[in-house]
Amino acid sequence: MRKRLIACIFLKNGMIVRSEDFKKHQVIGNPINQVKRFSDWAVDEIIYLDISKTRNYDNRRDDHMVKISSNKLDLLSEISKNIFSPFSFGGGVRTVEDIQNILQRGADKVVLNSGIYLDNTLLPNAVEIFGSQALVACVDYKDDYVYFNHGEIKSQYIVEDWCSLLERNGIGEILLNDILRDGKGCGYDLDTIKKIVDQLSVPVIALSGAGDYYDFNECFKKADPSAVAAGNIFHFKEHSYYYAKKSLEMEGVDIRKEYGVF
Amino acid sequence: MIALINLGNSNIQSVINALDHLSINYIKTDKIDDLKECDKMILPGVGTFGNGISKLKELNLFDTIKKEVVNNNKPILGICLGMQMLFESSEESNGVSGLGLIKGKVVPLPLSKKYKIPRIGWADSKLNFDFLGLKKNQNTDLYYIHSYYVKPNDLSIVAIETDIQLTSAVKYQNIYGCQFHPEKSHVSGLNIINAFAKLEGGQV
Repeated sequence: MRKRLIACIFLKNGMIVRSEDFKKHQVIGNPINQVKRFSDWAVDEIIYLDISKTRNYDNRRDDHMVKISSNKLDLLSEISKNIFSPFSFGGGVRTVEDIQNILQRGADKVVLNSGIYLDNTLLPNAVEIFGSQALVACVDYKDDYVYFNHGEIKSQYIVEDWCSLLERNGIGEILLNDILRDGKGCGYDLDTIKKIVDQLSVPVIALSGAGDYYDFNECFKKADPSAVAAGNIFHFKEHSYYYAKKSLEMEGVDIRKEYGVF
Repeated sequence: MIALINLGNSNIQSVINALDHLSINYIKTDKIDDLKECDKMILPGVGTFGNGISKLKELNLFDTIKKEVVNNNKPILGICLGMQMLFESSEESNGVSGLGLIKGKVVPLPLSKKYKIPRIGWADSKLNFDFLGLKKNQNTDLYYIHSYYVKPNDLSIVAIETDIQLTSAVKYQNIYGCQFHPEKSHVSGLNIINAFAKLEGGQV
């Protein structure tokens, strides 16, 4: 099994945003255009996280000459028509019906977060119906504690305990997100990632902290997650996904060597 | 015309998107008559083996699929759980009989340093013989997401292997099965679906 390099896309009210500190969100583009680009680049996988706090979708920008969707599920349908690589979708998932709706529109996996905390039957029920492989938990943490509701509510759980609980309840994959590194480009939280990777038998995806391509390599070499994910770096640098992959290949990380066209 | 068998479970949309993208003629169906009128079938599937089989029985498709494949020689492509259901049984759901079109059973993935379980991601996959457009001895990266895998009794039907010689694809007469997801395996995967669509169909 190859190591994966995942493009993470934060959506807010229908548009792609750059995220920093879980608070600052700068609009940087249209998700339908972006998905075509990622498909051309043959990305390993994409994770969409809808971080909208309201249900209002931004319909103002029509300068991209493509349809802008008026709600989350329509957007998801448009995305899935344009990519033939795996992608996950999450944000605001609270019920089994929410999961069903997302999978029905072509997502391979659903990312859960606060929903698991607010309703402790959600994960076991979802595992029963959809299977572990369809479920990813995003774990937002700060100074070892897990936070929910967009990083606003501090829980009593420390990261290791919460991850163990998720694994016992059948989660298929864990997406680790260090709140303090969001948008900082200061490198991954290697200690926590390594600790969780060693502790769990399910795959772990590392998120937040990538500032340059070397950060991916360092994370694989020192913490050994199944995948690394990043958002901002793929939006602001030309052909960044290609160069990131090439640098991992040169460093000897076992990745998929498919580079697509661009 | 391909009958895309709809078990009412969730991931059929990505197969539909792939077929649409390739302009392949298909009908999404859970009706016996459509299986009789088609010349080929695709059986996708997620969830547990037991659920999948009971869904096939609920829809009265279980015997029809067998008949169309065996008597009328229609090619069938099973994807992921769809492939597993072509076999006789699964340790995921003891006591449940599969379609039994291929001899062998489905077992949990063994622990290995090569992957975590669920085994998710792209794996270098080796062709033992030509398979739906892919050539013998070729290596290609395909996308997997599973916790169980098939063990055919007759290893000569194993078309593709990955990691620790896990069976990744089988071909037995007019029966094709992929553990990986061709509809999610980018260009390599779309080529496989296209090659299946171009096969000569069975008797209608």
